[in-house]
Amino acid sequence: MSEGSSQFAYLSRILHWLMAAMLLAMLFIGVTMVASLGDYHKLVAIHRPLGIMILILAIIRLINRMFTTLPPFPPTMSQRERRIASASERLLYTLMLALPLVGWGMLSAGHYPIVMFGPVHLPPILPANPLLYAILRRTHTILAYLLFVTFLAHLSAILFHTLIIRDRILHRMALWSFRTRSPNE
Amino acid sequence: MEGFTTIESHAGPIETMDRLEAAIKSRGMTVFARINHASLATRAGMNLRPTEVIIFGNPRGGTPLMQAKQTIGIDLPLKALVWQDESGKTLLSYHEPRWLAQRHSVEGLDETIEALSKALAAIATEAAGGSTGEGTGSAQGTSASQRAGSVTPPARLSLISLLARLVAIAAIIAAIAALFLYAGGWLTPRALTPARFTDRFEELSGRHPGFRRNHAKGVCVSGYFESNGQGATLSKASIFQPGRWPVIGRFSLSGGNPYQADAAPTVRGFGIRFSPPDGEEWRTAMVNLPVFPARTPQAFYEQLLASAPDPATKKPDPAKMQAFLAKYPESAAAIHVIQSQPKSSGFENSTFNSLNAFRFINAAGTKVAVRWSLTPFEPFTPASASDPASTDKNQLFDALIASVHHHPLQWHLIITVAAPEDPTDNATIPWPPDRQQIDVGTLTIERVESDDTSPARDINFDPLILPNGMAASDDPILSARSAVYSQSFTRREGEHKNPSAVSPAEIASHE
Repeated sequence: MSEGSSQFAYLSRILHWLMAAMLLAMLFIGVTMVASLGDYHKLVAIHRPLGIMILILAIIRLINRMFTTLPPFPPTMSQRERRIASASERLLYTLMLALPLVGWGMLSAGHYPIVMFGPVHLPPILPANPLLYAILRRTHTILAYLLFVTFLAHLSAILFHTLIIRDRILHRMALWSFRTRSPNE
Repeated sequence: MEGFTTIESHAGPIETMDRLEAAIKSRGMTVFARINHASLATRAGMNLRPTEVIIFGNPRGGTPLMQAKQTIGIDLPLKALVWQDESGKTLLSYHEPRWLAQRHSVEGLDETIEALSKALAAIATEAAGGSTGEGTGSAQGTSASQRAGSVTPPARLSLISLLARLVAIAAIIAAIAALFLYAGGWLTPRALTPARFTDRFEELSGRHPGFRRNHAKGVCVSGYFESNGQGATLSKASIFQPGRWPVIGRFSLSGGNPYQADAAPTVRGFGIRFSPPDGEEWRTAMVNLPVFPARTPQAFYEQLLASAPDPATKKPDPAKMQAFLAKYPESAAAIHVIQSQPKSSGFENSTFNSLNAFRFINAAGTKVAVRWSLTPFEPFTPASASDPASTDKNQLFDALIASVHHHPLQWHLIITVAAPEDPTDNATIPWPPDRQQIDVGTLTIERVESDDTSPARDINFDPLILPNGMAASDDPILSARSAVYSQSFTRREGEHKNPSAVSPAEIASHE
């Protein structure tokens, strides 16, 4: 079996781990800054451009996902578990695209400049409107909590497979290659 | 049977074989033959339950094995058997590659054989219907093969080990969740957060939905800033290039009650948004105090508590204020500075100060610490000592409105540059009066509008919305202001808007 079919494509694996680190950092930065007085400003200044970077990577990842074949599910996963895994994958993709867009839209609706770094800033994507701002601001929080819970569920499933079922499910996403040769003849 | 793996398929024999063939081909392997024993038997006039064998493989996979030991060639290509047993179950069987390797004493290709074994297991499981419901291929078919030790499911976990692993998983998830809750302030209910700060303002003035939680009462203004270019020596911000840029702003009185009666001693605020043409923004929120009465957010929070009116007397408790001033001597000194400065009669002749220090960065990269002020063109007249309890609850705003309708109001924007020894992290201390001051331009206010109709109502005059060329200093109040303003903004934007004390009609009446 070729290496591509037991592991995700190399770009997919890079994107997975890069975005995992960024999204987790983002969730913690977000929840910390909202409760912080002294570090609020510094954290917001990281939160905005990091969010836009996540949006860009999420788009690249979605395109990559559409044009690559996935390795088959490990035989240890039941049909039901596969359906749940596919649904949670769709949910994660939706959230990592929606969260930055909602954040961007929320700042637009709130009359805020969308500052990236130095003089670089983005244009508003929505008209300034108080109620729209309030709705998007709330939506941003709810989606972030949903992302965190989905992440925990994903991590639980991987830990369960790795520690209890021990089907080496992590190999599929490992950054290094596992040498798997064609079953021969 | 030793080295012989059998799994149950969830499909019938023909479908299972078709799927097996597809799974093999999808992995780039060649199918050499499919031999249907059962139909051959029928042709020979004999009876056999469905039994079909498939022969498949790939030279790139098999050749290394034969290079290691040629005799293994008798067992290659690989084979898989699909058959139906007497109970009607469809089964899929194949030789374990490890067993074949043992049989021929193939040495040193453990990795290849392991990979081969996994690939075969995956193909077989795929053909067997993956596994509907709980019945995964390995779980069902392995009783025989496990005994033979041929497939590679890991050894069963002991009960203790299983429990330990489950506990470990739960602990990891719980730890991450707890860290998240801690980061969000949920586990530290006494720690000061923007939300709790804002709650305090609401407690002090009552909740007034739709209004700013502090500086609730105000009117909006607009006009322009004419930069004379002098500021460019200090900051590369485009606002300091010579030119005229639109501004929108809001005059306000401190306090969370949007319907309070105007009084000369109440702190006056002026929030401004400068909009240079490149899309950058500078927002500032200034007051008519020379210094800020607290050095840290915590001190300011405690000051709010100390100056809260006692429910019984409706007046602040002097003992609480004494205790606060004793605990924070810098606040006592700041209040002395504030009280020794005469108050002007109205908004139009007030000097407004940035209070906090900021950093300016010029085109050469030189950084300086600065504070800024707006000094009025209108002559200073002191606030009358005892305003006769005027029937006009909006007297300060009405005077401002009348002035703007009479002629545009103007202020100089003065930047004060710190000496190296001046504190930048302590807004309670005034900088000495001999510091370099640069007049960088003139602010002109031409129009005044009610909060009810102006976009400025929905602008958060966050003092840390700064253009490139300006940055926050190390003053801890600045970040806290930004955080609490944002909290107040988020709360009020979602609330129903009530009419403000200074209505559009009132503004029109002063024309």
